[in-house]
Amino acid sequence: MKSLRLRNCKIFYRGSVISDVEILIEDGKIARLTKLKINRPVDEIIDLNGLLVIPGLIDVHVHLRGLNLAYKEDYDTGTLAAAFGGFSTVLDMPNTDPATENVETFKLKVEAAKPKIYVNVGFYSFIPEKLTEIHRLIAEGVFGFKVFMHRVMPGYKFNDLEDLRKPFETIGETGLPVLVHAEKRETYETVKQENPNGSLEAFEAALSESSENESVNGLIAMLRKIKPVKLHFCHISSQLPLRRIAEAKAEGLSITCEVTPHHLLLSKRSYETLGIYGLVDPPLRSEACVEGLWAGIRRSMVDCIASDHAPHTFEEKSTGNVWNIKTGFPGLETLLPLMLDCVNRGWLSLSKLVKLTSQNPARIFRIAGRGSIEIGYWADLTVVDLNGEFTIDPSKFKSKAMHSPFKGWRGRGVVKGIFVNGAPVVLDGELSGRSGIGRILKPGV
Amino acid sequence: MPSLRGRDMISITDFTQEEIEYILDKTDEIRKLSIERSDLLKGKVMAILFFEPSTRTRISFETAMKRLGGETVDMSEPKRASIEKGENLTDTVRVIDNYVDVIVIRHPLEGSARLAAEIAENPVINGGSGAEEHPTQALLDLYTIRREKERINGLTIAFVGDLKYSRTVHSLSVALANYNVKLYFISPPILKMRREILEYVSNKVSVEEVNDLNDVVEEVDVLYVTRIQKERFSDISDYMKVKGSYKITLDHVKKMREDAIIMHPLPRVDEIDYAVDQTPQAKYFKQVYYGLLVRMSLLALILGAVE
Repeated sequence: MKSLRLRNCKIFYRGSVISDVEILIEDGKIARLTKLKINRPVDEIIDLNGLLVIPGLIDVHVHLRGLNLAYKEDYDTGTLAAAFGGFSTVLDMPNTDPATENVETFKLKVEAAKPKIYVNVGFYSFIPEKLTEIHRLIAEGVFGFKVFMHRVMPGYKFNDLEDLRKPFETIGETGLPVLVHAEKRETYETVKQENPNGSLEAFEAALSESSENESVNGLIAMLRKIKPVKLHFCHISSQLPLRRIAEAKAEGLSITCEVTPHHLLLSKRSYETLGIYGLVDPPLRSEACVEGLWAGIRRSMVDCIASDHAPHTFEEKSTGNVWNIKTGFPGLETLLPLMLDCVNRGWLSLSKLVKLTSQNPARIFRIAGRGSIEIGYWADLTVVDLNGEFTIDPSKFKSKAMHSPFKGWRGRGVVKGIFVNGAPVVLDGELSGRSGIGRILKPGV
Repeated sequence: MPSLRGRDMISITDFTQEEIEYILDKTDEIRKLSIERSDLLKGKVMAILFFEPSTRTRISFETAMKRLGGETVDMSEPKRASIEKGENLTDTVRVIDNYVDVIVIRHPLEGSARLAAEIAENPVINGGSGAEEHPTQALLDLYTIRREKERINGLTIAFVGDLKYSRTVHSLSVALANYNVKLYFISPPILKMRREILEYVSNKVSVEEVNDLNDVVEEVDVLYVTRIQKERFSDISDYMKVKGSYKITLDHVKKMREDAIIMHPLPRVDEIDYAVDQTPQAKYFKQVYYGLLVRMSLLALILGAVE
């Protein structure tokens, strides 16, 4: 049995910050939390000098790429970025090459990732072409099924909501969630055809606030009519759909949603400095939308904050027109410092941040024994210095995507270390673990 | 017998076998005071300092104090995370210590009650700290066994459920190790009794780890049931496998001896079928009443009202 004693910790525990705590880790799990000195001999002692320990963050929306897209990001670089960003678990999206759309492509990813990962990883899939394959994917450990409402993607093909009834009901029986990128396919296609050369205005019109809202409303209306299924709305970017989602939850529908730091901290005005680099789907919105998202966080209408880490090369993000340029930003290494700065500014409380980045993700996606600091839970722990100052410097990123819309941003709240399955992967800001420490996760109870 | 006046109660192991027996004896005597009101502790004030919610334990202590004519002040605060404030247990205890005669503390972290006892001049009673200690629960469990079975020596006692994380099971089995008893530990493999406790207990009394309750149900005098939390399992199939096998049903009770008793620290979820409540073996609600008596007796002894 390998044992590790962490002394001089301040821990976030059941809603409170408690100082002068010692943590005993045995075989990767938290064995003791105590105000006393741990006297028994242990293999290793680490002094955390009074830094704050929070539950390891869980990012439910990450594109790790890998395989044929390894030039953008691979399992080692992506999970290193996660570790240095304070995430002990990430869930990976299926729009890769090859795409994750059946058991064969699912296993391919698991095997490729397994030896390379520094943090825990779980995988989503597209809805498979053959719906009978859903149960086989569940046996392999899939965390959920992703649907892009506006684009034709690999896997199951659909033209309208009615086509989605059958797969939704099948997935609903299994208890796993469907993850939705809510947009309108008609609007997207029409605007694209009418503006073949594209423009920022056309891009915004194709992926507008009202598209997002109508899509959310349509799906909620559908949920009322079909057998129950859990729906998780990815990256909600404006306030109306947030309100609809909150109302639908109150009705008893099984719905959750996430927001991203870029939709919380950037707005249309950011295009002035970012140019076409700033394109992201859904696009940056008005300042009223940004306000609406923050209000949603304050009123507990938001369930998760996720990075939507979407690594591309800088060239892919800066050449071409708005229809073929690659959208999205790397986000694993900026989310936590930016959000800790918001905590320091009083925009959200520390307990809310922990809820949105670890407790809720673990609950919604059934990640058992993680997401909280509890005896018997895995020692997935993130060490932060709330007062430490940072300047976002993409040239230091572990991600292959060494760029960021937050380049040069300064604030307070630094990730100092992370423990994954009880092993120190990052200590005092330096790499201390090796690849393979992370595990491939399957949903729990 | 030396006086218990001014003593802290942090761990059941802080008390000798003789002292524990003495507290249980006094509990018998104090029983009548729970019916007629008493002013044994008139003028005494007890602080309830709970850093985590626990309605049952809090009300039990409060009632115990009031039944003896004492007063209580409730310092339990809904804790909000505040990065600036943090938590300063030491200062809080120092402040409260000026106001009262005895402090009952409950804190989510192990060691916090011990720390409070070192700081406070007045006696401190541990109302539950961390996953390790809940000494008054162990006392009331012992008292329940003694009252219902009229002895502790010679009994066969089985613990069933989550033996790894249940603090009541840890404290009670350590306390029982001082008697002449036979213990069975029945749990799913991943929730087996903690090794250090197993070692301690098996050095003193006969202990056997068993997988199936049905193997021993006919011979036990006391069946002590705890809840299995599904969060403890990382795989749903593991949980489903064990779920039903540790639930107490009427079938089990039928196989049990007529004079056997079933105990549970409460709250219960579904590990004991509601139908079992009506059987003569079910003693878990009576256990709550005994808890009140034990706490009355402990307060009276520690505050020096009874010698």
